[in-house]
Amino acid sequence: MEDNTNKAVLTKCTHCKHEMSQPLLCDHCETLNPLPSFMDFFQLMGLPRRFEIDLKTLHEKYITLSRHSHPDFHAEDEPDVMALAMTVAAAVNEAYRTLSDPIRRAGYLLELLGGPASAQDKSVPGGFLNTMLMLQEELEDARVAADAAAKARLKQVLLTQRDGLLKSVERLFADLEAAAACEATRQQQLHEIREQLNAVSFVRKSLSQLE
Amino acid sequence: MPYNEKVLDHFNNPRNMGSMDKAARDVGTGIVGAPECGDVMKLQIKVDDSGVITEAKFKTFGCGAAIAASSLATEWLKGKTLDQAGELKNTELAHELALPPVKIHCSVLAEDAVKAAIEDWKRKNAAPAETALATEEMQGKTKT
Repeated sequence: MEDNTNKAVLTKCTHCKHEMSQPLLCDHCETLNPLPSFMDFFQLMGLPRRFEIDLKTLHEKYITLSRHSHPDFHAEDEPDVMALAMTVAAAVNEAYRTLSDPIRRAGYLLELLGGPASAQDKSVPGGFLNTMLMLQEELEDARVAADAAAKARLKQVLLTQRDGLLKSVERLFADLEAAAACEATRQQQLHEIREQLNAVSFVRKSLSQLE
Repeated sequence: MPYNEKVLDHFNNPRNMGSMDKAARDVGTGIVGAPECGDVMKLQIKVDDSGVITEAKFKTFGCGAAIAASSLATEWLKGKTLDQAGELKNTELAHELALPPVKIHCSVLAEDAVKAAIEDWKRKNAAPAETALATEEMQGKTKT
């Protein structure tokens, strides 16, 4: 899939009028430019719109943008610049929070690609709820008996399950990118990603009860 | 927001909590979940020869409202015919328990569980000719 998602937002710096190679921060004069109204989190962080991203690049971008939009950095500026900095800082924080976590990133990307939200498509892979129910019953027994060994074993089962689900999410996103499928196939692929992500939600909830 | 007294009552003294034999022919089992909150609910019905629900059990791993909604649903189901049971609406559960808007989905989950249990029973007890149809219906449902 050709990535042209970033090109649309590139403009000239409002301050020095130089061409900017990235949105928001001018590479020439480092002026903070207005936030385009239609920018998604991938564009904001200068990343291609895909599931597999370079976390190091994301982190570096986060540090740079955070520094340039930090309120302390603009304390002496005009109110409109301060307001812009605050808007950017909030957007950057939210983008980082979303993209740095693979589960949040997958859910965000899925909806960006036109996939269903969990409220619209609650399905899970076949037999999954049965497994979940069994695990929950075992968890309850372990809790009642204060059986630390059983709890540790169940935690491991859940972690393995979560990682397996995330692996298949990764694979499904890669499939989606690899083939220019017809709309029906594409919708089916998006639906399958939603199924895996719904399953992850259940696993994550159970894991949170173990903490 | 504190829960209504009725919710607390069902939460502290759940009715009909437990399990029945899933493999038994006269038992219908519905297992449903809500990915948004991670709640999982199992609801089972035992149906006699005349099509009346004689027993209902539930097991819910979730919030107080989800537990209360499924507990109330099992109470309500006993003595009902399958047709009457199929008419149970989440709004009735939500109203009875005075659930706040953010907890309405818990009552939806209970209604889904009841419907799934009825479908499971019908599938098990369908005449051979109807089995294919019931399976098709079920497959259609799981896709939506």
